[in-house]
Amino acid sequence: MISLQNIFFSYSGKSLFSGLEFSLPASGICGLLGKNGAGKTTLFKLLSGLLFPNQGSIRIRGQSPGRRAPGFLQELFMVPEEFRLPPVSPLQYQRLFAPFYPGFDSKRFAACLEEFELDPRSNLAGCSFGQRKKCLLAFSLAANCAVTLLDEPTNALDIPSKTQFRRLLVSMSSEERLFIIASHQARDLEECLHRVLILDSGRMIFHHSMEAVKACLSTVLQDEAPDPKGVLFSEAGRGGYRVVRERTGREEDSLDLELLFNTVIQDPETIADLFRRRSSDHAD
Amino acid sequence: MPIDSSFQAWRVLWLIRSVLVLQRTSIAVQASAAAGILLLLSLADALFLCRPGLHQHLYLVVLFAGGLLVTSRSFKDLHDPVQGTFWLLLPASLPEKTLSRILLTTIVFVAGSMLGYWVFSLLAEGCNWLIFQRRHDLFFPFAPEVLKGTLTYTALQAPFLLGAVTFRRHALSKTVLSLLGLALLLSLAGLLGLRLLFWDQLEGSGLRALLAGPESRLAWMHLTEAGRTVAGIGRIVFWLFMPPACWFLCWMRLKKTSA
Repeated sequence: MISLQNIFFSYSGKSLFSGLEFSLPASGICGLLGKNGAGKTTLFKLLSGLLFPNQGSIRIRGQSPGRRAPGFLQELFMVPEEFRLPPVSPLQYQRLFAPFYPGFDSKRFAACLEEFELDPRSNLAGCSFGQRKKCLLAFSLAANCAVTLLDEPTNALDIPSKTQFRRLLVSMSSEERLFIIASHQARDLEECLHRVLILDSGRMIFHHSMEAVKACLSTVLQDEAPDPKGVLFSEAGRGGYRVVRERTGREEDSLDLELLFNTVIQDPETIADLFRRRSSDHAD
Repeated sequence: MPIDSSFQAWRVLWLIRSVLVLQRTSIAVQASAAAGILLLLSLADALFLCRPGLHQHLYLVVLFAGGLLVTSRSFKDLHDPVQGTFWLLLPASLPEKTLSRILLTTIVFVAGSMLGYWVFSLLAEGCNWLIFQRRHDLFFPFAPEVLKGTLTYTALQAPFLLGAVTFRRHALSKTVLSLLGLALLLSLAGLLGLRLLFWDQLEGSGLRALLAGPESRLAWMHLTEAGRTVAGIGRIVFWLFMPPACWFLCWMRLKKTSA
């Protein structure tokens, strides 16, 4: 569905991606994590055709984003971190721009606005940034595009709105749609993700389903400092030490995306080896 | 994924509509400000001179000054890092997006300004009649000088549209400077070419006198056949080659624009 092959990209001579490669299925919710400057927003811009790679090939459902063909743009919606909406009501916004998206569902838009507690007739100029963001998120969900890129969607949302957003997202996850969410607010999304991608230093260092993550890693909370043997990552916090280990049995634990991110970033090779080994064991 | 890469006229119209709807307040404010200034000019002229054809002349000022200003600002959203993203990702092809801006700054602007000016001339002359008991002729959009002016504007705005796509800031000033620079370069190259290649053939012609002698102004009156040919080529370039070439370059430029 999405396939990137040997992507090279640089900003004014400074290399960001050198041989980036990965592919994604046609549906699901993917979380894209990475440090500041890792290239998450640039990757979104490459996927949407806003930037052109120096080298390599990007295909989304068989089309090249760089051509910016209407048929491609009708099936891709990006909610950038920074945006500006015109001083019109959500309803007027829908009247102006929904006709460009053949799959736009006005009933769903109304339902999303209701879920977000937004008045469809109030002028967006008088709304807060968070409210405007909710309007754009509602539009993106109602546009029914095959691929939706969300860059820091939960930034500026209040706590109830984050819950509402997650609820809406999960309700649409069964459809043939792919959502890619770049976020630093890992905890906002960990319940609804199907896959996790971690980008670091221009490379996709981690790319696995949540099932695989849960099958390979376990997180425990313990009072005492852990014995380093067999520990992939540990950090001291309130209530003791949170320790990540290779899963050996059916331990009951909850996955923590921040902990996963820190574990992978600290030693990507070890984690890659672990997942490779577990994957081949499973195949055997 | 449905492949919808064909040209769709409705999308062009919808793009034009969205600009007009979103810019309606700005259009109303700027048109009102221009109408205020023009009303003062009309009143002053009715008081002192009451010249015939005033509105035709004032309209041409509005058309060229306003039109070139509007054209130079027509891609402001594209150059804005935030709005540019939205514009580029809007599901319409680049030819459709380019054509929508060409139509907005030519046909839509000309038709809108003509209609607006005609309404304004009615109001202005109503005021003149009430205050001074005399008035100018009403604005006639189909007067030959107005029609010729609109055609000239349509051709002239094309390089300004290209400037609007090319320059992120101060597009109008930079386009004027670029055109002046280009004109200067072409003139110098032409004169140099003339001096080097055709000097002997111009023996006795007014052009040679223009280039060499102090009676240059009079020499223009005696331009040779060669000079008229050059002027003819210039007219063909201005009317037939320059506008489509600039519009094509606009599209090419947009194709390579990244955000």
